[in-house]
Amino acid sequence: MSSIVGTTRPRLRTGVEREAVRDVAPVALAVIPFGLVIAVTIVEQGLPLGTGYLSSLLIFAGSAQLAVLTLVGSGAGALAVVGAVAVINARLLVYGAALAPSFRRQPAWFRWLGPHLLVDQTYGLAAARTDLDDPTRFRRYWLTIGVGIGTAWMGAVAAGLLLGPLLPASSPLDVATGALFVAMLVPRLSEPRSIAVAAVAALVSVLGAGLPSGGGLPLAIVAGLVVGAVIAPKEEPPCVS
Amino acid sequence: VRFLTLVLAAAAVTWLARVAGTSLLPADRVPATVRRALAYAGPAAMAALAARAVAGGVAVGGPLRLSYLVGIATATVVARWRHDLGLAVVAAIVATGLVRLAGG
Repeated sequence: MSSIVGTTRPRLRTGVEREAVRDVAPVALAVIPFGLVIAVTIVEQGLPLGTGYLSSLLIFAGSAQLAVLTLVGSGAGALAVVGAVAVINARLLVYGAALAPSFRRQPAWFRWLGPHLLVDQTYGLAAARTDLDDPTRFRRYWLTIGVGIGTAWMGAVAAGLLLGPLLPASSPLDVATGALFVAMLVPRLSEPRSIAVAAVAALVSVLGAGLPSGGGLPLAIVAGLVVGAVIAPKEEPPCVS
Repeated sequence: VRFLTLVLAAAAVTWLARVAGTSLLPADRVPATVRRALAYAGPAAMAALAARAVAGGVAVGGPLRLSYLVGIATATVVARWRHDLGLAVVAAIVATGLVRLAGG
């Protein structure tokens, strides 16, 4: 990593943005299947395509958006939808708190708009860098990786919405939503406590499937979090999200 | 209109969670118990969503059930083996398609 001290402004921009593009390229490719799944879900649930597409931009958080789409599609109530989103995205608060020192020294527009790009992937990329102390450097890096992921994301959703209606009623893509959640879950089951949390959440989710307004989903997540709080080591919170 | 309203509400809640962490609520003000619980938000949320999706897929029944289960099993193995989200989903779709082609 070259030092930014004494470099000219154009070079600073080129350097950090080139590094950001290099970092974000594989991550952006990886979000494409997820974007396609979101699009297929919008089509399968019979939701308005325009609003569905807009939701990808406005929410910009895949698992929460998928929860919104499936809950709305199944006729869940507003409280269940908002509750599920709040619980699913609670981890963003933790990510944001970890990045707070970098955001605090930014101009007002970035402090309020920049966090919209906070997702698992942007947090993971930014947190892995140790050379983003300079506010301008952080801001350019953050915007580049965020826009990179966002572009891939919105492009994938658009492609899925265009192709989705052409698919037969029963296609192998039916498995995509379940497979995606399983694929996001499995790598997180790296130690016994995570497995216990996941087991409780899964069990409550299945048992609570019949609850009105889709209330079983937020209830299941909260049940998992309660188990996590009880069994987690008291000294230092693990980073398993 | 209802869908749009829910999308806007979900977007507002999500943005608030993001801004609360970066600008409004310093990490050291979050109670330790809550921080410990939130560290498990990922496994809890994904497990709840996965269980619901898989239960819904299995509930379809008939010949589609076997292909669905094969797809989910494939995603599990590939995700465990390669830790690659895209590859796991593609593998699941391909496996499901192959079982259906074979009449399963």
